[in-house]
Amino acid sequence: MRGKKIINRKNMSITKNIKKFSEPDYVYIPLISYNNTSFDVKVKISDYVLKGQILAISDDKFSFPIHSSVSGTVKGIEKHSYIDNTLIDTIVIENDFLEKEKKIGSVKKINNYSIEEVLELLKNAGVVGMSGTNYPTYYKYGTELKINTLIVNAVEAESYITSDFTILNSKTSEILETIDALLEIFNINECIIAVKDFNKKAVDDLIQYIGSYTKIKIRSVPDSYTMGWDKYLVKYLLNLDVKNNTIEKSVLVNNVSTIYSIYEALKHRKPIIERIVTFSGEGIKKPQNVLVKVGTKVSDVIKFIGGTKKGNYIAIINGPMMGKMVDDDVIITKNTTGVIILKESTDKEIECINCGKCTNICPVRLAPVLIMDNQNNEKILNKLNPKKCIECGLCSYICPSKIKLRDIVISSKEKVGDK
Amino acid sequence: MNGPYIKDLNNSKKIFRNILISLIPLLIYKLFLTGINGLILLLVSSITTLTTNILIEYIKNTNKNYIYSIIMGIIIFLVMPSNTPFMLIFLTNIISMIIFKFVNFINPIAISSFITYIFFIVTKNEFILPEYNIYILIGISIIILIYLIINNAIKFRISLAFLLINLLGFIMNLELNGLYLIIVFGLFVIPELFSTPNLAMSQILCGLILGILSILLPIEYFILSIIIINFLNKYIDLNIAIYLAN
Repeated sequence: MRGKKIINRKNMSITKNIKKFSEPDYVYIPLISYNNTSFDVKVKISDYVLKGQILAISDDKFSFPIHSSVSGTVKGIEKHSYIDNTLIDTIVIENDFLEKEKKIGSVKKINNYSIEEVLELLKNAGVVGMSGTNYPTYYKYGTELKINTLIVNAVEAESYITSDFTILNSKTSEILETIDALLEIFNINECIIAVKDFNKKAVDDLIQYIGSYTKIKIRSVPDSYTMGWDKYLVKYLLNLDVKNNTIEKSVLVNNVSTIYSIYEALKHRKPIIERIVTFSGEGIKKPQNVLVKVGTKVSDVIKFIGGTKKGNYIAIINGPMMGKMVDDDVIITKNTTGVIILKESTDKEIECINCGKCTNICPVRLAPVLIMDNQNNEKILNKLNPKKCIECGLCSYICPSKIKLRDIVISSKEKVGDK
Repeated sequence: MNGPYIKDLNNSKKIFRNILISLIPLLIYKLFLTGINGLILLLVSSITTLTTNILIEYIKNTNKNYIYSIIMGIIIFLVMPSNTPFMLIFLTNIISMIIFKFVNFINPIAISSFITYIFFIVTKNEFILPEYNIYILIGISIIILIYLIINNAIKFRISLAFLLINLLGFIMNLELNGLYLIIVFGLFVIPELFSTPNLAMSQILCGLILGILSILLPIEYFILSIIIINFLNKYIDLNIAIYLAN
């Protein structure tokens, strides 16, 4: 299997405790869903809202309700930067710091719910893939196909980011309890928790807790980038080749932070209004994991944890390999895993030396250098199938000439379109 | 600006530096065997490739990358018969570098050495290769191969496939082109970066074909076959890439 051990900077934030930042003056709740649908906003300016209150809803099947992460007053709708650098609508709420919460109904033991109740709770709580996809979890579990194996993905392939590792370490018993309930409710045969070789502490902690959970196994996977990719995990752990979606092989893959969100939704009926985000990188004075409210400005959190060092630094959201460079205005969303502050690269792109490293590392067996050579030959470009690119960035990472191959493949992907 | 925002520590300069380092043991051994004549041949070869490269890059106003032209000069010295006239190596190197700088999918070492070997045939002179000690040569080659593979400096699959075929030829008692040439061609000439395929599968195929041709053909035709295969590499690579991508 293809992959590469990339520069590992997880140690910068891995041993630190979780700091809580619950006092932003304002939050900017993003009106965003998996399908980028429009929302029906249920509040108006000057309305008082409670923490956890529904602010907007949508009819789209991939959508979920939008909740307030603080109690306070609605100030209006403003555009702010999303993790992909686009401007999105946000509901601005002035925080009154009272943390007044919406009363929740009766709760049951988490393994006493029916499938329908779980799906309803997950939808109402707005539980989504917490690793960057925003894919609604209720939709994933709502499959009509039989699920044989649940894989809990705690691999966290990106360098610097340790939010999954932190949640696995700090909420081990809750995560195991949730997995056990999901196995029972959805009649799933087994669960495999996939952890990187590197995270030995997580494996040891899990072994201590796992005791009576006979259907749950722990598997460590090589410290190789793209190992966190669902299809690779299924291949590595179960030796199954996935063409489109893992569910076609009766396997459901969930990120470990998503499992904890499911726990919060089932145990406390709590919507996803906060998450653990890694703030790390050479430019951060005190790298650490912070529990942040959804809608908080990244710049507010950075100021809270001690700020950045002086110099030419850039902010990257969701990891240095697949993430994007963002500005100060960007806000924390449910799928923000980390904010990395790095020195601006001074690498100069030079002529390709035809070393072939990009072609021999691509996890989906594309030939980036040939795609680059044939950018203007649409017929050949189409045959080289850039649509298959998963945008992992390994081709650019490995290139000794520092050519931005990922950008070239992505633009070729767009050029070829759906032809 | 899009990511990735971290990059592998390897770069083109390091790759070229590793190739240069890997050349040192064989270079020292050949200089030891050929003496002062060898040293002059080496200087003529390296200075010609370097100055031709500087001039062409100055005219073309392209990236200045001189280390690779020195590498070319050294490899050409290693391939050339010890009795190659200085003027011949001077002229062939200029021709090969000009061709390489404008059509970089053709192996410049193959061009230089092809002209030289043809010269020896046409002038009916016998070319002289260094009289090596087989054990020293094999020892040096193994060290170089391991170094190149560990540093991932060359397209080692081509070398391995080529050397494997020649080893089989040796076991089957076939007539080979001489251990010295097999090793220099296998380690440095045929895996030349710019003129070889990119995909692992095409590299193995290329090494196997050239390995078979090196057994079947006399040296001058084998070198010619390297140049011909240079023209086919892109086509083979592209078709294998299309097959793998779909």
